[in-house]
Amino acid sequence: MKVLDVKNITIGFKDRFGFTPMVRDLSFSIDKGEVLSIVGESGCGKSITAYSILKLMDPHISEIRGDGLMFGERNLLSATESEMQQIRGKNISMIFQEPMSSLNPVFSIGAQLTDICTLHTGDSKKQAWQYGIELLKRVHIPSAGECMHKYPHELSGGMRQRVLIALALVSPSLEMLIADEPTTALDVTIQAQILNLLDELRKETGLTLLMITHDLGVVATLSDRVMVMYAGRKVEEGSLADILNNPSHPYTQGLLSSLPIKQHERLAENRPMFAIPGNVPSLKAISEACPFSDRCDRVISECKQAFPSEAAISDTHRAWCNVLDEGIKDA
Amino acid sequence: MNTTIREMLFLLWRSKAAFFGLFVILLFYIVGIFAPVFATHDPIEQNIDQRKLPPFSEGYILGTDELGRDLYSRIVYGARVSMLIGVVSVSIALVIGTTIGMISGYLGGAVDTISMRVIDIMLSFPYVLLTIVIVSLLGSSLVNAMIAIGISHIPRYARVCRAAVLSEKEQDYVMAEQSLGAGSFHLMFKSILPNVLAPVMVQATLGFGDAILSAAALSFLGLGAQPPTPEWGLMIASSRDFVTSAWWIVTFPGLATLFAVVGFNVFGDGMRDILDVRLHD
Repeated sequence: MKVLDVKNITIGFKDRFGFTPMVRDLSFSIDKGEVLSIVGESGCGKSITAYSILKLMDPHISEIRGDGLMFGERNLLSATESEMQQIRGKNISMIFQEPMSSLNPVFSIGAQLTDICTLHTGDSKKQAWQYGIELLKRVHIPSAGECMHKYPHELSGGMRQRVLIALALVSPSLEMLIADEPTTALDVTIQAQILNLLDELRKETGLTLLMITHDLGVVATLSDRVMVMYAGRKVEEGSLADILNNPSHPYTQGLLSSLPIKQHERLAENRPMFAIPGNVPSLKAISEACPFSDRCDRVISECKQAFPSEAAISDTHRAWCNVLDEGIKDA
Repeated sequence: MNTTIREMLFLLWRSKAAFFGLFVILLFYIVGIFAPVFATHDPIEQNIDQRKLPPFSEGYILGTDELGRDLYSRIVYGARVSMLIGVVSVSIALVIGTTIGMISGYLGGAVDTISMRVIDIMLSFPYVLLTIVIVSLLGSSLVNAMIAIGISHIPRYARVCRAAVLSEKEQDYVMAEQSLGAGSFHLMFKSILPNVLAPVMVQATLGFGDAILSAAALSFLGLGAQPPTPEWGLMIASSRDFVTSAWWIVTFPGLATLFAVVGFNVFGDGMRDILDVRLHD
């Protein structure tokens, strides 16, 4: 059963000169209980996609176009702001990449938790406080009762991210959690703890998780399926094994070849590490061509004409490229 | 919360000027609230035989005015009036100004443009002139003077609040709370407001002094408190003819106004130092 079905949406910013698309013709869906990771480098439109699902971007400057943003039976594209308020935090919630600044600095953890609790559950303050303590225990915060009285600045980054996860889990009718680079701002040991926590929570509750990240390590730890984005386009999609073992799009191949762990030979020979040549194109300058064509070493003339059509590699694995080949090229 | 208050008191104590300001303010408030306790005479009881007595004569500590009323008692009751003016007009300006600034800064767009142009128009009038115009429209009385002062103080709160909201609404926690289902009203008045209070409170403390001074000015011009109300500005106005013959009648109410305004200004400056995080460390 599909929890979220994104149908051919284009997200962009409007200004006096018109509409500049940032994410183009994006379609994907997530099944119940599944973990989908969206991978891509900075500026490829991952976070914008995440914000758009909850319609968090200022409608004065941005616009979402397309055939549908189906959450269950509801089309979020046509939902009003007050309908979205009913969905945010109740059915879909989100955790952000900056735990240091994502909590309100003037309220205690307990005040913020009870506030959100009463908003979604209609509990009394006292019940909400107890529920808050339970939630903090669920995200493994030691001495949860004490933590309720603390202010955000008294907690470490990892603890704050746990509190934010607890806040996101408040609603009993939560169906989907969007995690926008939840580990980016944390150091490596804390990253692992947070990922374990997310994994544990999804196993316990059957939560559907949409993970936005640029860290392939995070992808490998947690995902069922992976979607690779480049400059606002989906370029490859498949199961975790498909993407890691059999990357097909030249960009995915380049990404995986750039991992330091795959570069022993080069390092042994004192050659510089592999990197994809060139830079991400400015999203303003993107034409109808394949956005990767300027950096691709297999580029053919068709690539410059139009965005490639879908090529199925297996039942689960698809890529959008004219010149697919098998396996990681020897870089 | 207790630690925060204790820390603030400590910082206040460290900044001697601000502590002095707080002391003066509290003194005036205590004197104002318990005026009947401090006063030695009825402030409006006239005693024609004992006009213009100099200070320290016949039980009149500060002497008497041109109608034989005890100057000290009138100043004590005047503190009550002035402190009330401060509270009322600052409250009017604070509530309306902050609300306008918050809505304008948070919503942006046309709402922001329109409300800020209205504020610009208000600012383009000289402040005293604007106050006088409003009092003239409402009619001269102490209550109307307070309302007029409140209204003409609105722009400064609206501007300060809007500026703070503009930077605060871009903070991550705002989007985080929005993503958890908080609506615009909740975001504006429960999430953002407590975070922008510091600059607004500094403005309010400084505004008390201004309000008291403006009320004295309006009363001096006959547009505020009406006789026989013991109001400092009115006392100065009615006794200015005797400044050469009976200096005390005009001097002491003037000194009272001076101390009260200096107290609020010094305290406001100190509050700015304490509340402005950029000045710390």
